[in-house]
Amino acid sequence: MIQMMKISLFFPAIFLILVVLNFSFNWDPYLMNFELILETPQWNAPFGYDDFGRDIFIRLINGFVSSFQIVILATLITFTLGTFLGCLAGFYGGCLDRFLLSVITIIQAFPGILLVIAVAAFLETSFLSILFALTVSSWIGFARIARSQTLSLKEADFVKAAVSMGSSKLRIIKKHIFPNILNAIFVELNFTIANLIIAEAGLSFLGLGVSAPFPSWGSMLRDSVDYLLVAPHYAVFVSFCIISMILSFNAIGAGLLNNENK
Amino acid sequence: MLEKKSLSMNNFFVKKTIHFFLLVLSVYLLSFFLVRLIPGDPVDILAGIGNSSVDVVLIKQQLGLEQGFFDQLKTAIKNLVLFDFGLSIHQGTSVNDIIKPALLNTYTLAVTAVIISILIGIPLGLFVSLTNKNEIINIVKKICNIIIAIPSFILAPILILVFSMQLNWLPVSGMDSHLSIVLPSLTLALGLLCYLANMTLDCANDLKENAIITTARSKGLRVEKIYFIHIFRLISLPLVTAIGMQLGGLLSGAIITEMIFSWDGVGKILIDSIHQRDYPITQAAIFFIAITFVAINFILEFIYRKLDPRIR
Repeated sequence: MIQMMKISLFFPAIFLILVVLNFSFNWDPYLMNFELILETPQWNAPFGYDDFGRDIFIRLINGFVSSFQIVILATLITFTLGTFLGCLAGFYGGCLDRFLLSVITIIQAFPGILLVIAVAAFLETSFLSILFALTVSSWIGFARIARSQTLSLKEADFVKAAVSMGSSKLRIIKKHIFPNILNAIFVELNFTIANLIIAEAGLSFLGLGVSAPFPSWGSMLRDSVDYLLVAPHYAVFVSFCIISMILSFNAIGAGLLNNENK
Repeated sequence: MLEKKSLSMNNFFVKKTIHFFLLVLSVYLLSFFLVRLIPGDPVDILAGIGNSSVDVVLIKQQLGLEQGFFDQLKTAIKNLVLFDFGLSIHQGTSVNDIIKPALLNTYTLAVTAVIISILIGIPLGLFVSLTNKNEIINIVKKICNIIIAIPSFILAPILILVFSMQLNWLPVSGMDSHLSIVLPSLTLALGLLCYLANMTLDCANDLKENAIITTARSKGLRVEKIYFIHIFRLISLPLVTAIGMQLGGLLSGAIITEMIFSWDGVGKILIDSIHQRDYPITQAAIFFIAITFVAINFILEFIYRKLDPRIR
């Protein structure tokens, strides 16, 4: 499992290096060569050309940047919001807890990316609205983990000791509970990133994500499906990138989970 | 003793039913008031540039936006009770008439997918567990884990590429022949199938040392018989829970799968209506997909209680 984890760190690392190279060499994702439309992979374009004669490899790197800006931002927001609310609800209990639980139940009634689609449908497509749509539906994962962990930690001796010494509740959450639930939260973090990648790609696949000339993995995949018969390499390379990223983060999450259970 | 037991079952039923209806109501209100997320005046966007005041009044009436908030809430709840979701802005027909056949198509697709994954996934898990070879078990589990992680919008092109374009066995898209259900349902089924196979494999491996199995063996039963009768009964409980949990992914996967294979289901209608800005249809489609998911989980909870004698 640990070995799998090390291998899976490899893919995000490669992409990060490629992003740095991309910015230092200023590769252009919009450069069109009309005589090279849908050409197969060759020496100066390792992944071939797309339907406008643009280099797929360079567009994939730029798509990585735009997709991951949203995914990482959404992860950070949901991580902060979900963990904070989960800790508060778990620690204070009562009304707050019941309210959070019912909100979670309602949000969970929307399967998969349905809520993301629903929120994105009523907003104009922009960076912020996609971010909002992704955030609304994915904070509950963190909130649930944080709440259940806090509930079990509440009975621990060191928390009782802190209470008897008169620490304020917020201080206990910050100093005693938060550091102890961090392990479980990190596991959830990786699964959330994987799910957000799927949701973001799904949104742009459905035409609700980042708009047209801008490269994004989901919209590239949708374009490539139209040319499946004439240029299967387009779909193959785009799918390979998305799958490798999802599997990497899933494997990192699974590895951390395995490590924690030992 | 008997009376007490049936009472607790009734209590459970009443509590769960109230819970269910509350959830339906809140999901409905949420999907209904999502329209308020539209920045600015939604009517202006709907009517387009250069709209006449007649258009604006008409659309406002259709969406019920000319009333105050509480009146809108009242109308919304009344409409839910009457099961009336208004008229489609583009086609002018009742939303119910559009959604009903689409829902049927989606249910056909989803049920086919679930049946495929149960019929293949569970026996696959049991057979692999029967081989008793660790290498095979590990390889199958790894492949399953990879397939589970692949989203439907990647699985679908791969399946089209293999079965429609290379082998030329199945139609690429549409709903013309009986064979056209195979690819979309297979796309949906593969994830659940691998999940079930994986779980069956895990459970069967855990149960190998169980006293029930040892007893059955000592009675001289054949190993295959033990697997397909005793172990199957024992693992049916966690499998019901697993199916309930995975159905969410299956239903949301159906939205994208229907788009790719142009299968006229709720998912396709949902996405089309979003692109056409036909909000009554969007609201109704979101509501129905969510309600299907909630209702299935509601039913599965009862099945679970029936199956498990310990909590009956």
